[in-house]
Parts: sequence; structure tokens; C-alpha cells
Amino acid sequence: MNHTSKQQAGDDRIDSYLPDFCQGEAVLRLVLVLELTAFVFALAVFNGFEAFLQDLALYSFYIQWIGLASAAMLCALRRTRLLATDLSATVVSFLVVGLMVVVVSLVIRWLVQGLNPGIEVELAADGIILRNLVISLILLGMVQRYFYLQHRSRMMLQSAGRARLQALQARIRPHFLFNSLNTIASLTHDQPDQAEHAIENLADLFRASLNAESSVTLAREIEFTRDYIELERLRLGDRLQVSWSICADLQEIDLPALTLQPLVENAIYHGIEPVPGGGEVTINVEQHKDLVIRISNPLPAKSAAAHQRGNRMALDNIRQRLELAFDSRAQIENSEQDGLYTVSITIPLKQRSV
Amino acid sequence: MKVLVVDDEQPARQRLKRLLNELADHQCVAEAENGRQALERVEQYQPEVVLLDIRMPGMDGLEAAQHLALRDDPPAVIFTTAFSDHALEAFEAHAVDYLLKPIKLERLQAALDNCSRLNRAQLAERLQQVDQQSARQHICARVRGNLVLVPLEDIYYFRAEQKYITVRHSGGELLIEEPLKSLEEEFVEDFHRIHRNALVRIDKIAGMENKPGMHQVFFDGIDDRLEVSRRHLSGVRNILKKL
Repeated sequence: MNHTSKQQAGDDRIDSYLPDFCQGEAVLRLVLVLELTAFVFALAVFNGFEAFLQDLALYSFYIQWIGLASAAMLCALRRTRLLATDLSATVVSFLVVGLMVVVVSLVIRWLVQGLNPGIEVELAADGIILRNLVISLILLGMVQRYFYLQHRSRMMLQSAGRARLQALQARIRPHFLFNSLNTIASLTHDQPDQAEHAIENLADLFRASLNAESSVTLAREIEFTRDYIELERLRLGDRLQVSWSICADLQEIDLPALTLQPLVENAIYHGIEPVPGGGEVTINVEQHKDLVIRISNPLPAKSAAAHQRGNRMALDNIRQRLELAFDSRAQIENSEQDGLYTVSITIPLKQRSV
Repeated sequence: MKVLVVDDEQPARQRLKRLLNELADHQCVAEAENGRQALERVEQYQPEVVLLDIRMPGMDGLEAAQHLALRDDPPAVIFTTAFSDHALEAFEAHAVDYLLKPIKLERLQAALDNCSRLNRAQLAERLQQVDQQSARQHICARVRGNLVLVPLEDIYYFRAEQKYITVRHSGGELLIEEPLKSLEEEFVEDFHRIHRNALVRIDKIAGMENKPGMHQVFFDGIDDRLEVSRRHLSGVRNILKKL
């Protein structure tokens, strides 16, 4: 077994492969597994149906007690550093379970003999305790292997997700980039001040898309978007009209960087640029229970298949990043009505700890 | 050489004009901001080269180039584009010239020096290969010295008469010289052949009337009727079923 004990950067949760037995779900699963184990044991010594039921009852009682006591102890130990690494988690769980086997057996023996002195409790005889100890530890070993593999697979998925997130973020739309550069090159001669300002805006947007840090305030995101719109207006002129309507706590809300800007970019690319005379993009930002951002643009009469595809790809990109940031609690939807194409994002608002 | 600059963005046109000013052998004679205007300017100024932006509202550069290719002596066409991943490979493969924005002066000079006026067949063929979904959205014709563009959706039918093709549209008729067969191939999505000499817009067919010895289609909005040949009869029936 490979005992890697990497802590994730910025992650102060315990990260060994052991499940968190303070969570009801993990305990429930444990109970189920233990019951199946008891069933298997009882079946192994099957000797008539009534005897089977008695055995099952006995084994269940015994095994569940050991299991639940171990789980309780592991839950208590979670706050300490004892379960922080894979190696220590393995050793500690062996000790805990071994201890519980002995303790539970002795307690049973004590209780039964206390009620009926002189009776030999078969289950709690010394030799049997030793046998049960070995069985438990072997089973524990198998279960640990399973937990470990599951944990590793989850870690790999997460890091793949992170890599994908970085790849998603680092993409700068070439169409926007080269058209902006072309516009700036032109302005340099006739309107150098505007050219300078445009370069500053472009640099900010570049920086945002390259930055590994994934979260910005809503205020910053809106600023990015305004900078982007200024750049586009330089080359599109009056063809681009934008109307904003904002009603939200701009400084208090966080979201992944470049969530709003690419949607506006999409709206302009598909809804404004192809239309002779241009059109208007409307942006609504409203805070209720959740944050709702709505972007609308006119839809050209002949929406070619390529336009639909491009829209879908951009939406998927943003949808993936929202999923990674908000655990599938964020929503993104698009709809078409009366020649108007609307994308709306709903972001759950968490309470910011002051 | 006389150059026409076509781009929907004013700063982009501005820059190209400035660059052309620095080239001794070439001059900008006109500018246009979409495909339609480009065709009009070509009529008016007869440039030898057109610098044609691909992405423009209304009619884009590729379609404008297709219309230009149908002229008797088409100008040379050099496309300009900010970025277009696959399209560029197609351009290179078929020797269609292009320049990437922002355009460098030296590259512009080289492209203009190298440019050749292909004859219409060559240009048309190369454009066809470059842009696979290249059905035009308009039919373009010269009427009494003026350029007329008819959107495809306004056209009821094409009918061959002796040397010309009559284009019947909601505003009247036009005459063009393209062969019916190539029109049929290009507009296969929206038009159907009903006769050796007639190509009809599918969504404008109102129905078919069966008279003794003859079948005729009739249309929404106009009184014209066209005969369906026996060979094309079953095909037309299939179309009518789907309507």
C-alpha cells in the first residue's frame, strides 16, 4: 500500500483515505456492511434455520457493537492529528478495532457472567477472542484497501478537474484578441490616448484569464466586463449598445473570474456583430435569495448551425467552471423568445463570515 | 494597382488605407463596409484588387467573393481575417490568398505584388473548395447598369429560357447567365428541379394541379404556373407530401 500523505495546498481538512465516521452517511454504510458480514458468518456455519437465526442475532449484536464503537472512537480521534496521514490512519484504525474487539468481548463476558456466574460464554472465551481479533484485523485490512483505492480515484478526479479548470480559464478568444490588437494598431496613429487606454484594458483582461486564482468579487467581474465592452466599442462603434441594470451587493459576492465577460462576448459575437446596424445587449444583475445574472441579445434571423454550436461551447465552459466552484448548486440556462436570446446564471449566495 | 478596402470596422479600414498610402505602386480607390457595398464599389470603381474582410454583417466576405467570381473579369481577392482556425488551412490548400490582422506592411506589399487575377472559373472553383457550405444568400445581377441583390428567400423559381435564366422573385424578374445545373447543386437545400428548364423554391410551392396530360405547380403569392415534367413528377409529389 502506498502511503502518500500530501496535504492539498490551502486545504486544512484531514485528507487520509479513511471515511469521516462523524458523518451519518458513512456510519449508515458501515452498519450495512457489518450486518452483511454477520450474515455471511452465520451462513457459513449454517446448521438449521432456527440455529441460523440465533447465530445471526448473536453475530449481528457482536459485530455491530465492535464496528460502531470503533467508528465512534475514530470520529473522536478525527480532530486530533492521529488520522491526518494515510500511514497513521491505517495504524490507528488497526489499533482501535483490535482494542474494540477485545473490549467488547470482555464486556460481554463480564455482563453475562455477572448475570449468570459460572456460565462459560463461548463467544468470549480467550481463544475465541484471539480468533475474532485476527478475523477482524484481516477484514479491516481488506476494507482499508478498498477505502484507499476509492480515495485515490476521487483525488485523481479532483486534480483532473483542477487541471481542466486551469485550461478553461487560460483560453483567450483569438477573435477578440486579434481584432482588439488590430484596432489598437489603428488608433495608435490617430487617437493615441485611446490606444493607450485600450492596451491597459486588454492587459487587465489577459491577466484575469491567466490568473490561477479563480474567484473575484462581483464588483471586479463587472469592471472586467465594462473594460471589455469599452474595447469592443472601439471597433464596433455605434453598432454596439449596452444597457446595464444592477441591484446587488457588489463587494460581498464572489464568483469565478470571467463568468460574466465571456457571456457578454458571446452575445456580441453572435447577436451584434452579424447584424447590419448592430443592436443592444442588456445585462441584468439582481440579488434576491440567489444572485441572478441575465444577459440578452437580439438573435439574427438566420441562426446558422455554427452560431448555435459556438454558443453551446461557451455555455459549457462556463457551466463547468460554475459546477467546480459551486458544487452543482449554480445554474445556467438559455432561452429564446421573440427574437431575443437570453442566458441566465443563478449563483447561490453563501453567508460571508465577517 | 487600384485597391478596394472592405471591412465592417472603421478603425480597420482606416489602418489599411494608411498602409496603402505608404505603398508607391498601389492606391486605395474606395472602401466598403459590407459585402453588398463591396459589390457596388467594384461596379463603380473597377479595382484590380479587393482586400476583403471575411466576417461582416449582411453579406460576408466569402459570399461577396463568390459574386465577384461570376463577373466577366473578376478582381483579385485577398481575404483579411483576425483569426479563423480551419478556414486558413483551406485557403492555403487552394491558393486563396489571405492576410492576418493586424496586417504588416511588408506582408501587404508582398501579397499585392503576388496577386493574380484569376479567370472567373478558377476563382469560383477555388472559393467553392474553400468554403464547403458556400451556398450564397443572394442572387446578384446587373439591371440597367445598377447592381441588384435579391435575397434567396424572395425567389420563387429559376427558369431557363434560351441563353439566360429568369429569376422570378417577389419584386419582379431578373436575368442571369448561370447554368441551371450549377444553381440546382448550390441551392439543393431550398430548391427542387421540376423540369429540365425549371428550378423551384420548395417553401414557396402552394400545391400541384393535375390537368389532363399536364401537371403544374402553383405558388403562394404569385399567379405564375410552371409545368412539371414526367421525369420529375414523383420527386415533386414526395416534396408535396412533406409540406
